Amino acid sequence: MTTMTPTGTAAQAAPPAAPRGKVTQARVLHSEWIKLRTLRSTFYTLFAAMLVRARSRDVLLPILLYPIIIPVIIAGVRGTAALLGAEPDEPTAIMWIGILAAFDAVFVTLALWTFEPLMTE
Amino acid sequence: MRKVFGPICALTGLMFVCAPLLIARAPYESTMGLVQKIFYFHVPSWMAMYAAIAVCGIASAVHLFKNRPAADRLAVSAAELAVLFGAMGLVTGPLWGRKAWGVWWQWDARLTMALLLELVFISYLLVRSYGGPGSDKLAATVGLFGLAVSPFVYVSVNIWRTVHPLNTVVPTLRAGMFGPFWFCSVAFLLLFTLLLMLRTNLANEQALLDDLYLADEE
Repeated sequence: MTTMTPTGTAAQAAPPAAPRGKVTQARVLHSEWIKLRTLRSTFYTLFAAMLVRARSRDVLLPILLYPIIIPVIIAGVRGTAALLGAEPDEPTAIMWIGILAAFDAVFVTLALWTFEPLMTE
Repeated sequence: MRKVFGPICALTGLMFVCAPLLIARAPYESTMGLVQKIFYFHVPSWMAMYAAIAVCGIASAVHLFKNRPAADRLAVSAAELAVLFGAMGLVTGPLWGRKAWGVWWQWDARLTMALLLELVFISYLLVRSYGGPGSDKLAATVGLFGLAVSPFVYVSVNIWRTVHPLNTVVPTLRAGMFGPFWFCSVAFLLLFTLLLMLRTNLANEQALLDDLYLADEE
């Protein structure tokens, strides 16, 4: 037990280095991926879950999803493009992030709100 | 409903007969000339679309949370009208854009968002037609999402620097244009009300017929 504890604390005391290094392409891509995944996940899940019982669901999912998801994707792409240009355009990127946040607030609220009545018949 | 149908029908007909005369008499805009007059049809059709979206979204919410089939029938009627008036706006817009911008269509924020809003309601109708049993609840959610997206379309010209004229063009109209514009807006909203009443009535009769058919089979 006494021999176990120091190793345990030693493992805790040496966590992986905090990701505070340079902004690299891989990290930007990774953060973009997280953004995309978390933004989409709510209404993506909602539509996927509600289409499970529907007929011709494989065709209907993209038809339902794309009109709603495209503004989010455009905002993400344009915001990233503004930051990755020769001269990073911070105000533009912040504007796009604001739009993403607004979309997110609306869609997360709506998805959480409609999930229950939709799933419980 | 039936009592007001006749008068609304007559009033809408009268307004649509008068509208071309008023539009013809409205003053010419200094830079755009004759093409500007499309504005009297373009903006009112989008107004009617927003009205349809509001009706569809609210009726969808009622159906989703309270489970009322009557609200669902209202919602599907409104969704069809949203597609109709949206198509009208999408057709009249490029006619103006060809003269103003030199191109029929441009992928700027307002135009893209408006097209996507139209697609949301087309997908609503597709879900209704091909979703099979239980698709009414599914479509109701799509209607609610459409209602949630519509404010973004409205404010999009203020957020982005788009080629589309700003929303403030309406309150800053010249005196002679103001009358015809509001006349056309009221005419389009009345037309929307009329079509909504007709379509909802049709949906109600259809539901009644289905019930009778089922009762007869048992």
